[in-house]
Amino acid sequence: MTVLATAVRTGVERPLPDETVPIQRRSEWLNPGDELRFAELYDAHYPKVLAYLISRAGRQLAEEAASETFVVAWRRFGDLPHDPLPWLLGVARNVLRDSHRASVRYEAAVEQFQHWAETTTGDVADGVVDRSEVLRAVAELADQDRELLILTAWHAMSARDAAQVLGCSRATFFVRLHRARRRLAAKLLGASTHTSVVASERTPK
Amino acid sequence: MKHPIDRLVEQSRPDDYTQPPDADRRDRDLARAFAVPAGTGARRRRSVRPVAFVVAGLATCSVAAAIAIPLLNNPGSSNLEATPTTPTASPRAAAVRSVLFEAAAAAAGTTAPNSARYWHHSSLDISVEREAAGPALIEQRRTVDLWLPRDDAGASWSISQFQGARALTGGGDRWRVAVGAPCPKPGAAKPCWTTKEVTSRAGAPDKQRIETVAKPFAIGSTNLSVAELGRLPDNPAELKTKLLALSQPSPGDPNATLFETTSALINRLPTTPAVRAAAFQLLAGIPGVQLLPKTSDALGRPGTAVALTTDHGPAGAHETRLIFDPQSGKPLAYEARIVRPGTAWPGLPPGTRYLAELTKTTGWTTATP
Repeated sequence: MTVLATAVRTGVERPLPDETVPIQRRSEWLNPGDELRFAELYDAHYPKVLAYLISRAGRQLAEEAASETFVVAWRRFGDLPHDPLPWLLGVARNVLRDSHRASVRYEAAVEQFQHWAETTTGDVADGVVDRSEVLRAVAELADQDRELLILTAWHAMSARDAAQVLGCSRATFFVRLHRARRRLAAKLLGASTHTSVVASERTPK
Repeated sequence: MKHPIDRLVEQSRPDDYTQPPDADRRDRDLARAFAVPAGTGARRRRSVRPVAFVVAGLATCSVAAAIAIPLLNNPGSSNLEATPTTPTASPRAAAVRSVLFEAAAAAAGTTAPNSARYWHHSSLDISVEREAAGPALIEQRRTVDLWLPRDDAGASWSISQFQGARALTGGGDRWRVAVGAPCPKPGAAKPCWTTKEVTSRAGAPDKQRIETVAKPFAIGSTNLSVAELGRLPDNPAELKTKLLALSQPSPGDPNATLFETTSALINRLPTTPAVRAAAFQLLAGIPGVQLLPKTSDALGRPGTAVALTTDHGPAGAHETRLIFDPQSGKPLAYEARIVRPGTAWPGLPPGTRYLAELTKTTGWTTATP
């Protein structure tokens, strides 16, 4: 695919605004196996993309956005980075943002977390607090704070990858994450008598 | 060690947080994706509006070898004093004309055997960009070989190979560079891209046989087939009119546009010797073109160059040059350098040669890979 790129590159400027209509449909240049490889990509990453979207906007909006995300991925198949997940989540995030108003997404996400809080049982391993309690506290966070914690804790993303998803610098990410942790800690402090966890909250390394 | 708050959140994750799609949804999603051709996504833009840049053509490789051409027009500023390499001869039009006409005559004299069915272009593309979120200036190299049928019928071949990256300044042994990433919707307000890691290690060659390719080239907004390129006028005045027409609508400096398209015709597009000769003559008539009688390309190959500096206002100014062998009229390279940094080339200091398209062989052949 990269080759065609060169084939068509004439170094000639094209007008704006357009979304740069491709000169040559690259499907003609793709290997027959590309559909297969794309299906593998879908299988490998769909669950995480969908989960992320559900945490952002509830299940109903998430399924449509996940579908759209993979349409975009197919259109850009061949340009995908070696580890495509942060890229996919970044696309998913944009799809969601462009498809639904913030208030709609926010309410759906809160509802989703409340649902999880009602259906999730047990304590965290440390035994200091109910899982449902944590989920309720996360539900009360601002959208932005919640997202940072979900990417970090539920998707186990490195700061670098999470920053890529969010489209911000790593430094900015750390600052925001620090604040998000602090605000969640404050909420848990208000909700729980177990303060030891909260007290140990500190700035990130 | 995990932050205690992160650990709390992690352990509260619902048990069914991630689930595979059901079969129906999977089928629907894949069918929906495959309904659009792959590779039709938005291309990477290298600037922010209103200084709009379009990667010319379809540079899918991260080697942003695609020329990012500023669309801001700033006519009348083609002759900047601060060219990165001051031409060694006075830019007298007569000298430019003399050299280019000689090259034109040489180019016109070449012939292609009638049996040569394929246009074969073999090049090394070098690009330089600032490391994403880092200090290093990263150079990336890629070789590309293309075979396209003269009559637009039959298969084409391409072999592309990443030849590795290196830091020109800043050191390190692996770097992240920006790669194209989609904006989810056409017209999305901000460019969105991602990064990928490159190292000094070369990639494997990627050989592809392509059954049909209708119009693989573009001049301006017009797509052209190999045969259509072959039918371009071989008279300089008519060629100029035609190239400007093909480039419409173009908000750019027409001189820069002409220099760009003409250089492409000489350096890497399939054309006839007569069109190539006309292109050389056309170059001689572009105001502001300067002559570098003795220079060399990024591979150190000696040649003569014609150069044009274009000022794009806040986007910066760049110099583009076509390097060729004046005796044979054969192209050596097309290169671009920063004259004055601006928003178009973030992080690149003046004088940086941010693009070199080095032609190894180009011409008509009977052989295919």
